[in-house]
Amino acid sequence: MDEIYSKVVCRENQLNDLFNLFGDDNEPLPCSIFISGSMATGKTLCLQTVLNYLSYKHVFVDCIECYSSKIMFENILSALNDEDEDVKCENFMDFINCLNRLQNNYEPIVIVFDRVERLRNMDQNLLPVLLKLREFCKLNICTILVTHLIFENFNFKFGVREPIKLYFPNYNKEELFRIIFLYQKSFVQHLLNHFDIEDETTELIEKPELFANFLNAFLSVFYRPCRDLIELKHMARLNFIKYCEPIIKGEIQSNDLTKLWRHISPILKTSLELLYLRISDMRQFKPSPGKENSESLYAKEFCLEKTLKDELSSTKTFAQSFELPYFAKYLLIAAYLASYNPPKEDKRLFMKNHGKQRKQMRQIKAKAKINEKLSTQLGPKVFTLDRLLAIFYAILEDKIGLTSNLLAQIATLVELKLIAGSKEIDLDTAKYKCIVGYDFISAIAQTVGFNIRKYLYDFI
Amino acid sequence: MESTVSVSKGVFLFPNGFQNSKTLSKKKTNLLFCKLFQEECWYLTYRKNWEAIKTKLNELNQRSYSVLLNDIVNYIKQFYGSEEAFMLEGIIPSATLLTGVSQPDHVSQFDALINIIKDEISPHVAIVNSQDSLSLKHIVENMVWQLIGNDLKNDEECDVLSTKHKLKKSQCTMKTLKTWYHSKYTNESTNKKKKSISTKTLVIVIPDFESFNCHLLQDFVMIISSYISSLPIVLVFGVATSVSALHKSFPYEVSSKLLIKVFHSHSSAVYMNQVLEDIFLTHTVPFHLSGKAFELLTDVFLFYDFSVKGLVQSIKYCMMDHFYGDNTKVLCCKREDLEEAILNLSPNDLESIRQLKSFRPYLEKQDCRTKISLFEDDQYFRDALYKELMKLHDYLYSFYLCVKLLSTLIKDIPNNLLGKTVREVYTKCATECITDTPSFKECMQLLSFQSQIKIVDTITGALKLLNSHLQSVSPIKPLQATPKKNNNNTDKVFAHRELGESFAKTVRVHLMTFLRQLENANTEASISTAMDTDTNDNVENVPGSRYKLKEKLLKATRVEKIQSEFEMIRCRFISYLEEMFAKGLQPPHTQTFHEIMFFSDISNVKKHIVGAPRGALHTALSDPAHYLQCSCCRLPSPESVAGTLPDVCLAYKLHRECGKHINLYDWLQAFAAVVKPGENDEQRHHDPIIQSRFTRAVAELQFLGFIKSSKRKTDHVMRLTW
Ligand SMILES: Nc1ncnc2c1ncn2[C@@H]1O[C@H](COP(=O)(O)OP(=O)(O)OP(=O)(O)O)[C@@H](O)[C@H]1O
Ligand SMILES: [Mg+2]
Repeated sequence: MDEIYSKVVCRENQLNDLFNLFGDDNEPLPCSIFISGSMATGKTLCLQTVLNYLSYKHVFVDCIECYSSKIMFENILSALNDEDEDVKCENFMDFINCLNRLQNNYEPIVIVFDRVERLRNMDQNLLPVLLKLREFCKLNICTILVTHLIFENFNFKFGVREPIKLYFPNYNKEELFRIIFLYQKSFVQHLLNHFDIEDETTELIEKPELFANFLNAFLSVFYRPCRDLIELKHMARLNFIKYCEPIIKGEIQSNDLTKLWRHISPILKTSLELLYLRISDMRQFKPSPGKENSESLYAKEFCLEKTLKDELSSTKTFAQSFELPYFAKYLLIAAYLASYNPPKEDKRLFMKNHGKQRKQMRQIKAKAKINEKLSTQLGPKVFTLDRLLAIFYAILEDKIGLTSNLLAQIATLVELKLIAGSKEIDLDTAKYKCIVGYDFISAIAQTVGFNIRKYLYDFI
Repeated sequence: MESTVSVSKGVFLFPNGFQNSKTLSKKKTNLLFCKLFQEECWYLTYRKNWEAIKTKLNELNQRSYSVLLNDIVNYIKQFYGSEEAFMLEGIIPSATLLTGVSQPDHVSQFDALINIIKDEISPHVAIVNSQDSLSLKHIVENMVWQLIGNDLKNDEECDVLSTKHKLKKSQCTMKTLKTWYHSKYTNESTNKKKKSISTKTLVIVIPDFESFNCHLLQDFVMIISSYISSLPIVLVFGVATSVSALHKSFPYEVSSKLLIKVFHSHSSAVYMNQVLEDIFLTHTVPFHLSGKAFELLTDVFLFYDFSVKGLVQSIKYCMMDHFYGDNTKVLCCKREDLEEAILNLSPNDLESIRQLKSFRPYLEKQDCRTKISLFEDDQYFRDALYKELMKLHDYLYSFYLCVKLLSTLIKDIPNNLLGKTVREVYTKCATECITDTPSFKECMQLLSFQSQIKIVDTITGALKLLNSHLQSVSPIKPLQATPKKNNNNTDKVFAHRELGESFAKTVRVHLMTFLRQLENANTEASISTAMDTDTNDNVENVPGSRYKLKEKLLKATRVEKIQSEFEMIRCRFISYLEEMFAKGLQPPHTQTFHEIMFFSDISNVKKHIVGAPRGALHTALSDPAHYLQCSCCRLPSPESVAGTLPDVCLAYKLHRECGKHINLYDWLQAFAAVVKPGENDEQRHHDPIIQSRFTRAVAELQFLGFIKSSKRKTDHVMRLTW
C-alpha cells in the first residue's frame, strides 16, 4: 500500500476514494463511476495502480478507437475471456449474452472507458446503458467513465442513473515539483545514455540536490505558461541536458548554484518558445567522447533550433519557407483580395478608370469607416470562382490563357489548405474562401513584387 | 502515341484485351504498341532514346534522394533499437518530410523511401493516402491490412497455417494488429532467445498530410499513441508546405503525443535545374529542344506547377511528336549508330531530308556539280549527310560546353542579364546569336572588371568543368576505331573538324595558359603597386602643397598605366572569350540539318501541353468546322449562324447575344427561326421535333456550365459566362 502512495504522489485523496469504492471483496462494486479531470492529472495512472493492486479483472477501453460499437464490445469481451478465442459480437444484445456466459462467481469486473466523450455521438442509448450495465447482467460489474469534460456536458436525459463522481484537480507547483522529481532517475539515465561521462561526474550528476535545483529553476520559468505535466516533463528532459552540460565539461562546479542559474536561465527562456512544438532536437548519433565534437554539434543544433523557431513563430517566414509557382502566388493573392474586399467595390479597385468617383466615395465613406471594423480583421468572406478569376486577370500584368494548368493550381491551393473549398472546379457552385492571414499574403505579394495594400479596400 | 487521328481532345480507350490478372493485361498493352509500331524504325529510335533518358533519370533520382533518405532511415532506426531507449509514455516518434508543393513528384520520392525502409529497417510499412481515408475506420483498416497483409504474402510459402486465417478487411483493427505482432515477434523471440531477434519497427507513411481531414488524423494519432507501449510504431508525414501546417492542424493534446523531426527535401526548382543540366542539356542525348520549346516547358514549370515529373512528361511528349511517323528522325541517334541509320534510309526518306529548310543554305554554298550530284546521286548525298551530321554532333558538343562555360563564368557577376542558371543561359543561346546581343557584351565587360583573385577563381571553375566534360566523353571515343565502310570518308571528316572535342581541348590549353599568366601577372602587379604606395607615402610625408598634390595625382594616373600588365592579359582573355564563344555559340537553327535533332514545333505541342479547356470549348461551339472539318459547318465569319450547325452550337451562339437572364421562349423562337427559316412564325416552334432538339441543346449547355436555371424568374435561365 505504501508503495502505491510513493509511486503516485499527491493523489492520496483520489486513491483513498477509489480504494473505498472498490474496497472489500465481499461487497458489490458501485454500479458506475465518473472520473473527470484535465490532461495528465493522473486519472489513468491512479486507476491502473489501484486495479492492479486489487488484482480485479479489468479492461481499459480507449473510446477513440471504437469507431464502431462492435469493436468496443469485442475488445471488452476478448479481454475478459480467459481463453484465447475470437469473439464475435455485433450488438448490445450479443454483448450482454456473452457477458452472462462468462464463468465467474460474482468476482468483481471493472470496465474503464477512457475518453468517453467520444461515445456521445455514437449511439444515443449507449452511454446510459453503459452506466447501468450491471442491471443487465448478473455480474459484479462496474463501469468507469474517464473524460476531460464534466458530467453536465454529457447532457444525459432525465432519469439516467447518476454515477459516483470523482474529480482530479490540476497539480500546483509544489505537486508538479514532487511528481517530476520522482523521475529523477530516468532523467539522469537519459543523460547518461547520450553522453559518455567519467565516473566522478556521473556521481555528481546523480545527486538529487542537483536535480532539485534544476527543477526549481525550471519550474520558476515554466510554471506560468504551462501546467501540463507531460509537456513539462518533456521540456525538463531537454533542458536538464543543457543544465548539466557545463558540469560535464568541467566548466562549472556542480555546487555553484548561482553560476548554474546564470547559465541556464537564458537557455530556459529560449526554449520557452519551443513549448508545445515538439520538434525533436535529438541527436542522430551519439556524439563521440571528444568534447569539441559535441560542442560543434550543439552549435549546429542551436542554429537549427533558432531557424525552426523563427519559422514557426512568424507567419512571414512561414510564407517564405516554401515556394509556390508564380501563378499560384497570384491566384492566392487574388483569392485573398476576393475574400477581404466587398464585391461591390471590385469595379472601383480593379478597373483602370475609376478616378473621380473614387474621391466622392471616399468622402462619404470616411466617416462611416471609422466606426466600421476593418474587414481584414473580420473573417474571410466566400467568393465564387468567377470572381476569383476576374480578379486574377485584373491584377496580373501579362496576358495568359485560361488553361487547365491554371485551374489545376486552384485545386492545388485547396489541397494545401491555403484556400478552403471544394477540389472540383465547377462554374456553377464552387465557392471558396481564402484562409491565410494578412502577414502571409503580404509576404507572398512581396516575393512577386505586388503591392497588395493598393488593392485592399481597407487601406484605401 | 497517337495511334488514332483524333478530332477532339479526349481520352481514348484502346481495346487492349483487358484480363483480370494484372500482369497479363500489362503484357497485352505492350503487345499492342509493339504490333503497331515495332516495324517502324522511327519508333525503335524513339524508344532507344527514351530508355536512355529514363535510366539516366532513375540514376539521378537515386543520387539526389539517397542522402535525404538515409538520414530518415537512420533517424527511424535509432528508435526501438538495441538499447530500448528512454521512450516517454505514449509519444510516437515521427519524421516530417517537407516535400515542396509539387505533388506529382512526391510519389516517386515516397516510393523510394518505402523501398529503402523495407530493405533496411523492416518489412512492415504501410502507406496511408488521403484518397482512401474517408473515415477513421478506413484509415485503421487500411493500415492494418497493409501491415499484416504484406507479411502474409511473404510468409505464404513457409507458413501455411497463418494463411488459413484469411483476413477480412473488416477484421483489421488495432487489436488484430497487436495480437498479430505479438504472436509474430514475442513468440519467436522466446523460441530463439539466443539469437535475440530484434523486433521490427512498424512504419506508417502518410504522404499527403495537407489533404487529410485533420480530425481524422488527430484521432488516428491518438489511437496510435495508446498502442505505442506495445507496438513499435514510427510515423512519417509528408508535408508540402511547412512544419507549421502540422502544428496548425494538431491541437496540443495531439501534438504532445508526437516527437517531430523535420527533414527538408530539395526545392523543386533546384531539382529541375539538376534534371535539365544533367540529362537534357548535354550532348549525350541526341534529342534536343529548341530554345523556344525549352522556354515553354520551363515556363510551365515555373509559373504553373513546379512539377518535375510533369516537365519530364512534357519533354517525352515533345519527343513523341518529334519522332512520330517520320523515318528521317532515325538519324536522331548517337554518333555510333549514325552510319547504319543513314545506310538504312530509303530514297523517299532521303528525298524528304532534301526538303528540309536548313538544307537550302548548305546547298547554295556548293558549286554546280556537287549540287547536281547531291540531288541525283543518293550515295553521294548519303556521304554528305553523314559528314554534315557528324559536324552537327561536334557542334552540339562544343555548343553545350560553351553554354556551360559561359554560365560558370558569369555566375557571380552581379545582376547579369543572361541569367544565373545553365537553363536560362541555354534558352538565350539557343534562340539567338548570343554574342551579338548587348547583354552578352555587357556581361563580358563586367567580367573584365573582375579582380585577380576572382578571375583566377572563375577560370579554375571553368577548367574543372571542362575537364569533367572531356572525361565524360571519352567512352565514346572508340567510334574512331571502328570504321566500317567509308573508311577514308571518316578520316576526311575528322580532318577538318574545328568544333567538338578538339575544340574543347584547345579551349582547355588556352584557359590554362591564361590562368598561369593571370596568376603570374597578379604577383607582379602587386609588387608594382606596393612600390607605388611606398613612393606615395613619401610624398605624403612632405608638407603638402598644391603642386605636390597635382604631381601626386598625375603619378597616380601613371601608376594605373604601369600596372596594366595584369589588365592587358585580362583584356586579352576577355577578347579570347568573345572570340571563342562566337565560334561555339552559334544558335542551333543556323546549322545544317538541325531539324533532325532539334525539336521546335512548339505551336503544335503547346495546345497539348498547356491545355485550354474553355478555349477549346469555345472554338468547338462557335466554330465546329474547326474540329469536325465538315463542309456543312463552314461559316463566313465566326459570328454568323446557320441551320446546318449542330444544335448545341446554334443554341450557344444564340445565347451569346442575350443578357444575364435569357427568356427560354425567345430563345426557342430564335432557334426555330434559324433551323426552319422558311415556315411561318407560329407553326415552327410548335413543331415537337424542334422543341425537343432545343430542349436537348439547352440541357447540354447547362451540363457544360454555361447556363443555369434561375429561381427568380420563371421561364428564364441565367447565363454564367461572359
Ligand atoms: N500523481 C502522479 N504521480 C506520479 N506520476 C504522475 C502523477 N500524475 C501523473 N503522472 C505522470 O503523468 C503521466 C500522465 O498521467 P495519466 O496518463 O494518468 O493522465 P490522464 O489524466 O490519464 O491524462 P489523459 O486525460 O490525457 O488520459 C503518467 O504516465 C505519469 O507518469
Ligand atoms: Mg488517460
